[in-house]
Amino acid sequence: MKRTREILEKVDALPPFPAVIHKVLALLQDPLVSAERIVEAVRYDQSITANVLKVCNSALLGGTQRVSSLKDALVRIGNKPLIRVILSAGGSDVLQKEVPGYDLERGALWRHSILCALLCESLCDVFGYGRKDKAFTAGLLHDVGKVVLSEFVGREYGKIRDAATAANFTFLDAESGILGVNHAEAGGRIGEKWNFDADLVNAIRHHHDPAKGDPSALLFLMHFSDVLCLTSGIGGGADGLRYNVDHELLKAHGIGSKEFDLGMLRLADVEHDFRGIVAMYG
Amino acid sequence: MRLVVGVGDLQVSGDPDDSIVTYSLGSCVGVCIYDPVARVGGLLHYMLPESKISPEKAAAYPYMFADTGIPALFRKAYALGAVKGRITVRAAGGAEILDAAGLFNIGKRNLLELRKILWQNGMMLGHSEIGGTVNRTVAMEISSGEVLLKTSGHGMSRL
Repeated sequence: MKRTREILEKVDALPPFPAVIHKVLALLQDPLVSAERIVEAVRYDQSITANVLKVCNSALLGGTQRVSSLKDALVRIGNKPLIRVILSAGGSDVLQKEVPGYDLERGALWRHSILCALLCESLCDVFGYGRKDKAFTAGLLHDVGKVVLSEFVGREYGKIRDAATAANFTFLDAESGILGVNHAEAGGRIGEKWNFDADLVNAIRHHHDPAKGDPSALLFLMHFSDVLCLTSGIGGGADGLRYNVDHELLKAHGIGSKEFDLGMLRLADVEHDFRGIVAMYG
Repeated sequence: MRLVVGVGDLQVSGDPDDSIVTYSLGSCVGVCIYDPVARVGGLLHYMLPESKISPEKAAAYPYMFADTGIPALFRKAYALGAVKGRITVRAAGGAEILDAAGLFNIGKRNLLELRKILWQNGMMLGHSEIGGTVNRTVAMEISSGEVLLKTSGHGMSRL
């Protein structure tokens, strides 16, 4: 299909994922890595440093002393929060854009992505998953395919919506049917292009249909986190809640109706705790 | 002034220069109440039906739940001069993800709780845009009680 090729060419034309973030992710393979080493890895990157200082100096984080270096930031906000801020800063150039095809104003996709990232991190215990930083990264980047697909979805939005509602399809299936590629598949290809490891690519590619991916705790918690975020509507767009939830998979992990509601409360928690950071970027 | 209602939050006002808005309701419900005589309005954005799932959360964030948030919304409007018999109630939200098993029907349960509380208090739910799979944003003008609704991907309408 001509359109499919056009979309895949767009994927190839995306700017590379910041090399410095790769460096950070590699360092984070070691769970005991010190924040000093991470600061060392990112201190030469202007946009990350600027973003970290901006977030740390936001009034919403409180305090009166201004942060003027990454070292200060480390002292002020601590090891783990700083790692999160650094990872978020790395993805912001791509995700901050307006995504008009999905009726997402500037910052809305970013907001959904950050919340999903924080929720992924928070849900690691439910799925017995030990790599919180990787869970955060999966949540942050799971919808990156929407950035590429936006233009095409925008052009064909009426058709996609009608196909979805007429046949009671999910928005994902309607994307595949009309455009030849859906946003999760496009995201998976972007992840490959950015040399993410196979598990991360798998979690991005199958976040809406986890039964079709390679079984992994990262994929399952990614799916649950996204379903909760979509359900809440926070940062949601024109595709709305037209996605499937794999209740069999969730049931196998002990998640029923009550646990789902408790998951929503976790989302409310991360939303409260990090309203400051989200507001700064959003 | 434009008052923004976050998730699990509420605002009331009797100032005709104010408007109250809440963004991106999925399965959450936005309840708009208005007394056209006192010109007092309020908007609540709650997330879950019943506070019993987490009494400690309910104590810290009562507006997160229908059963603790809705009474608070009315009490705050009464405090500004609204009178029960004159208040109209409209709602938006309560959407749902596609879940064939119906296990995670938070939207439906949220709306049921709203109807139950109104019924127990002898009130009716007025014009509302609820259910489905869409995201909605609502805004109320205090001067007129007019409620504007934006449905993602469908544009603006009046509630």
